Amino acid sequence: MRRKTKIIIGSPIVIAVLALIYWQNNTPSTMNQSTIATPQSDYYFKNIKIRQFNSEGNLENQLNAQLMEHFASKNLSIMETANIIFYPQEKTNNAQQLTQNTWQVSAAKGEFDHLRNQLTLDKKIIMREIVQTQPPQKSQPEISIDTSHLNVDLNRQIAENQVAVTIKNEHSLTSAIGMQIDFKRSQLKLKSQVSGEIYTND
Amino acid sequence: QTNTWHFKSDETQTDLKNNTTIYLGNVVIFDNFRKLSGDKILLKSTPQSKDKQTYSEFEIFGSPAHIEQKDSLSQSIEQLSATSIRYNINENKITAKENIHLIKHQSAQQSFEVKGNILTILQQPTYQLNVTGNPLTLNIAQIDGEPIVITADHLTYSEANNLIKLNGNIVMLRDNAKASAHQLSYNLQTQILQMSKFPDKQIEIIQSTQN
Repeated sequence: MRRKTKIIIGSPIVIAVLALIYWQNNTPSTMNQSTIATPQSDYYFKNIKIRQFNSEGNLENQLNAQLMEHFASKNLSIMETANIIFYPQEKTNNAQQLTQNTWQVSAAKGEFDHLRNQLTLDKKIIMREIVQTQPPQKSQPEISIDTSHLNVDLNRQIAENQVAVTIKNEHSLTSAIGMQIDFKRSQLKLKSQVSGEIYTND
Repeated sequence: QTNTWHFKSDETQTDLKNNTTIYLGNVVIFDNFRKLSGDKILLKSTPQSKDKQTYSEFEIFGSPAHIEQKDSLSQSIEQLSATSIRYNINENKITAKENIHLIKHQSAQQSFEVKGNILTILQQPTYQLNVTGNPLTLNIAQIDGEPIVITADHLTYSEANNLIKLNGNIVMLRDNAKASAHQLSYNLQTQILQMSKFPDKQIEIIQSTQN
C-alpha cells in the first residue's frame, strides 16, 4: 500500500484515539467539582448587612449574612448563616420603639429573591425576640422552628409555609402542617393537624 | 415541678407578645390525671420573676367545656362541664360559669351531682367546692334507693369534713316527701342530714339507715 494512502487512512484513526484519551481525562467524575459548569455568581459579599427603610424613613428590616452570592441569571442570592430582623413600625418617638417587639429569624441557609423581596430560609431556623440591646441577648427565649423551608415576605413581614413544622419553646413542643408568623402583630398561627406537649409548673 | 400535658387541636394562634396561645377546634389537653376538652382553649403563660416559675392558666370554652379528673388508679373522681371553665394550674383553682354540671365521686357510697350557674373549686390545701344557682340542684346518690334531690341558692362542700352545706330557699324531695328549710347540712360519710327552718334554728334531723 503506498505511503500516502497509509497516511490518509491512519491519521483520522490517530486523531480519534487522541480525542478519546482527552475526553476520558476530562469527564465530569475526574474534573474538580468546583469547575463543574455551575451557574457562576456575578458577585458575592461577606458579612453583608442589607437595611430596608419604609417611605417615612423608618428602618423596617435588616438582612444579614456571612456569605451572600448573587446569580444574575435568576436575580437571586444564596446566603449562608443568614438572619433577618424585623423592626416594629408602631408610631413611637423615642428609643422605646426598639423595646417593642423586634423579631429576628436566623437560619443556616437562605435564598433571597430580589425581585419579589422574598427570603426562603432553610435548616436550623431560630426565631427570637430582640429586647433592648444590639446584638440580641442570648438569654432571650428562643423559638426553634424545624421545617423544610420558610418563606419570609419582607414587604408584608410575614413568614409562611404549608409543610410539616415542629416548633419548640420553653412552654411547649408543637407539630403541625403549615404555619404563618405575622411579625408586625407578633402572631404565630399553626394551620392544621396540631398536636404536641405543653409544660407547666404545677 | 414541671408537668407535661399532651394536646391535639385543629389549629392554634399564639400571641408572641403576651405568651398566650389559643387552641381551636376539637381541642383535647390531658396529662395522667386530668383531661380538658372544648371547642376552644386559651392558655396563658405568665413568667413570674420572683420564683422563676411560669404561671399557667387554661380557659376552656365549648358546648360544653369539660374537665375530667382521675385518681391514681385512673378512676374518674370528678367530671365538670359548663359553658366556660377557667383552670389556674399553679393555684389549683377551677372556676366555671353557666350550665354547670358537676359529678363528684368521693367513693362508691359517697357521690353527688350539682347543677348551677357559678362554681369555684379550690383543691389546695384541701378540696373546697362553692356553687350558686337560681336555684342550684343537688342530687345525692343513695345506696338503698332513690337519690336525695335538693334545690337551693348556695352550696359549699369541704372534703376535710365531708360536709355539704346549703343555704337559701332549700327544698328537699325524696320518696314523695318534700321539706323546705333555710339551712341544710349533709355528711357524706355518716349520711346524717340536718335542716333548720330559720337561720340558726334546728327543727328536724332525717337519718337514712346505714345497712
